[in-house]
Amino acid sequence: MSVGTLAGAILSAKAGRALATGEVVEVAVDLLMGHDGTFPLGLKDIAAQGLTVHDPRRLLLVCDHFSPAATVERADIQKLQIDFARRHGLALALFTGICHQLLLEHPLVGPGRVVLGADSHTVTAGALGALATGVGTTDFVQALATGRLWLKVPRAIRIVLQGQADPAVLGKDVALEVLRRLGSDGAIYASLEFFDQDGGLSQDSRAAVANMSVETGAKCGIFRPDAVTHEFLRQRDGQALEDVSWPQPGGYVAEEVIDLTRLEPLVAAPHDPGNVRSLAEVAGQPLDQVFIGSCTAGRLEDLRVTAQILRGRQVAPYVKTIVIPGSRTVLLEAMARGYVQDILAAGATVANPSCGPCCNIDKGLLAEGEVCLSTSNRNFPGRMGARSSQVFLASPATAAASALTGVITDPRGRL
Amino acid sequence: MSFASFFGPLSHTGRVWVFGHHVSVDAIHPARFFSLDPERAAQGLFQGVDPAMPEPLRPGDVVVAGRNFGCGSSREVYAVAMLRQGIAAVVAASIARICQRNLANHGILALEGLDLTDQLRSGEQLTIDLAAGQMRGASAVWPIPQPPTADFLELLRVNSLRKGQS
Repeated sequence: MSVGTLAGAILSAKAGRALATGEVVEVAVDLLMGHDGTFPLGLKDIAAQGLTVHDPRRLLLVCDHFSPAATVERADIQKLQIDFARRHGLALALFTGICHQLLLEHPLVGPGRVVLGADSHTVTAGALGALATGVGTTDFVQALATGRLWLKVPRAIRIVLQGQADPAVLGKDVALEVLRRLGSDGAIYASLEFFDQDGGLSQDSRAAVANMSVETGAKCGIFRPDAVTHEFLRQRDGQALEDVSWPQPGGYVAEEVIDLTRLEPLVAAPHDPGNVRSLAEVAGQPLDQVFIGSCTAGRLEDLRVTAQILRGRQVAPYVKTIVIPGSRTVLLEAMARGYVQDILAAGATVANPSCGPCCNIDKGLLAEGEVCLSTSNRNFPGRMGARSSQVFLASPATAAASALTGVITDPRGRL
Repeated sequence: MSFASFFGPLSHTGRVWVFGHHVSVDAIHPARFFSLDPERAAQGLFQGVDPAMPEPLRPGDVVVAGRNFGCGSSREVYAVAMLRQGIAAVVAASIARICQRNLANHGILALEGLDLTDQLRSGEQLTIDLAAGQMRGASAVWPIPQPPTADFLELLRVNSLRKGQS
């Protein structure tokens, strides 16, 4: 059995030869994703260069950022994408969910695959053992037209997860622990590779961890596929996707071991995802808004936890509590299980699958001076609204517990 | 105005704007300025860093930043805006991965590995001399830590012309 990193193994398999760290290689892309916030910017290049779509089956076009459009300008931008899809007979995910959740639901995303998306959080698909990374629109257009793109074999950092976490400690807390250790530039251009030794994290929690790997500057965050992955794929596709032959772990530039049994709920304080504090340090912070959703935390586990904490109770008066499921599939299942009813009955509002207020788009922007606890991934100045607003990042469990009290609250003991 | 015009002689002197660490894409180009019209997009450049921006920018200006410049979002409209405003180069301690690719794809020179944020003040002049492999301020000279190859400079030239026209 060979020795190496997961990213090295995936890119080497694609190249058909053993690649060294730092080597640049052009690889075939298994799935390419673009959305209404990034794809339309490429239309000028596509027209100017007379480009066509190399393989429509390997293209996922999503309308999720403007879902539906809240301004005429955004409707105009989105229309360019809808018209392009219609003109070329391309499938279009129109308001069916956040692109990164749709990647996880897509049959072409699985172990060993190379997934590119015109969005930094494309890394989310690494939760299923894919090498998934974000690119700008120009790179996206290149891959759209040729099916290929150059990638550098990244140095890699191994992160070993051990044990089982408290029920109120979720993937989001693991992501924040990784950020606490590495900082928000500690892994620029590196691959974060996760080995969940005891299967302590659910597939949904892994998606949150992979999603926020980019917040350390990482190129990708890859979970070594295991029984949890294969069970998820079996339920998704009716069969386990063929796994690749993974190397023995080796060649890592650094290694971190996280003991999940001792992990506590964490919070990233304004204005950087790497500004991680223990929950105790920020407990009691008054809130104007709680947002549960985004590509980090709009999955079924997140809605289950939210519903369990809110069930039979009422959210704090004057605190805007907004819940946005990650996809139509997630929303339908959450309705079937009664989660949505519990959340609505508690006084929260539930919006349609979309990016929502994350990235300053719609459905819950913050006024000047407002403070929000959000399950999303970024809290840069002005990220969710007015420049003077403040965003604390935490798990859906912490968010739901805090919605009930109106101040940042420890969720442990509530599940 | 772009790499091809600024660095035709392989050397460029421009006025610097000194930013801090972790300047995110949300600060470089707040989402509310997102537009497919390059002229409109250009009006949002650096608004999240300094609300007075981008009015004082002049073609040929150089951004000097600390660690992790361009972290966060992949939306490359900020590169369009930088090209439109004539930003000649970014000199930073480190640059986020997608930002590196986006700047290269727009033919904007990005030099990493040197933190000049304590060495320079906004408004001062910086000469980037690619032929000599050094940068020069009023009273100091710094070697370019990871000098771009000739092939890469040619790529920047081609990309800057292509993006400048489209």
